[in-house]
Amino acid sequence: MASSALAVSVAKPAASPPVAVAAVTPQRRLLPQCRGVRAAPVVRLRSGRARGVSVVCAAQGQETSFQVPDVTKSTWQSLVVESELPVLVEFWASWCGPCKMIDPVIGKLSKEYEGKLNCYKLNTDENPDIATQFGIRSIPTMMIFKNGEKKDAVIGAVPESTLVSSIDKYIGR
Amino acid sequence: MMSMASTTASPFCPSPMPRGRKCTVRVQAGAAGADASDKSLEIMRKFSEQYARRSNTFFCSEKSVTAVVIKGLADHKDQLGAPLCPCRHYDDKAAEVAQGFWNCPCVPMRERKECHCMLFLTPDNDFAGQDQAITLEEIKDATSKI
Repeated sequence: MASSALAVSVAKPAASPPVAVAAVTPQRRLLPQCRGVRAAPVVRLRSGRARGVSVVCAAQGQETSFQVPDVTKSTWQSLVVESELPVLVEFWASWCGPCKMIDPVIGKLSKEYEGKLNCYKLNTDENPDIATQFGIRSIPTMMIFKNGEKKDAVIGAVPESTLVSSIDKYIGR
Repeated sequence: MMSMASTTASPFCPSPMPRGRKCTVRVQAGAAGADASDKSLEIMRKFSEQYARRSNTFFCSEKSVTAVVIKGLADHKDQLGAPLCPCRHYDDKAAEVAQGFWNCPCVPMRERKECHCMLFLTPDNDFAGQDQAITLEEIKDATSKI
């Protein structure tokens, strides 16, 4: 039950989360990276500028991303298990706040890795069997599958760079 | 900015209801956020503001995150009788409510100020904003588009 262990390890440590599992609230910068756009570094001071940067980053993500397609219980076999390419699945729920933050990041990555990685979203409330099967606890959780097997899981609204490093391990880049 | 948004309690429910009891009167049928009652939405909004102040935590700089979580809590309060954390998957929601670990404020939040929903953020968190207040209008506006 690797994913349960992953979930448990997230809850326990107050600091220094495990490398493979990014904590939801690590003590470091969490803003999505804005590639192609020079964004001012986020000052730790809680100033209006920091808020502005956050909003700009989020807006950039939304502008450039397209809607990540859904995968459901009925399409899981064909889209994930039998996929020739590695697959990233974002497990989400309607009223999960951090899911709203990570969604444009997934959309951006979906475009960047087109032809090398398929990206999907799975609504855990509408597809509870799949969520339970893979031991989903905290959402959002991003899982990477290759040859139909679960290879990695990333928990929480992590920075884009965290997802990139996880993805790159499995696409033979 | 610690000012609380001035809102009056619903005229239909002037006094707080006992835990688990729900007001059966719906103020706005079919309004935005209709799947969570306005009563529960207001209860969870006030709870969130109060708890943020008490725990010295702040709402997310992206207030839509805050709004979405509060709505999720209100939904669960309506459906389950308790504000079960909306940022988790449960095999048995009723059992989780009874156990209480993930009822907001959840045990990790109470013990270590860890809120993976990003509803309550410690001041040092990069995503923390400056607000400990959010209006019902902000919540409805942010959640009606989803």
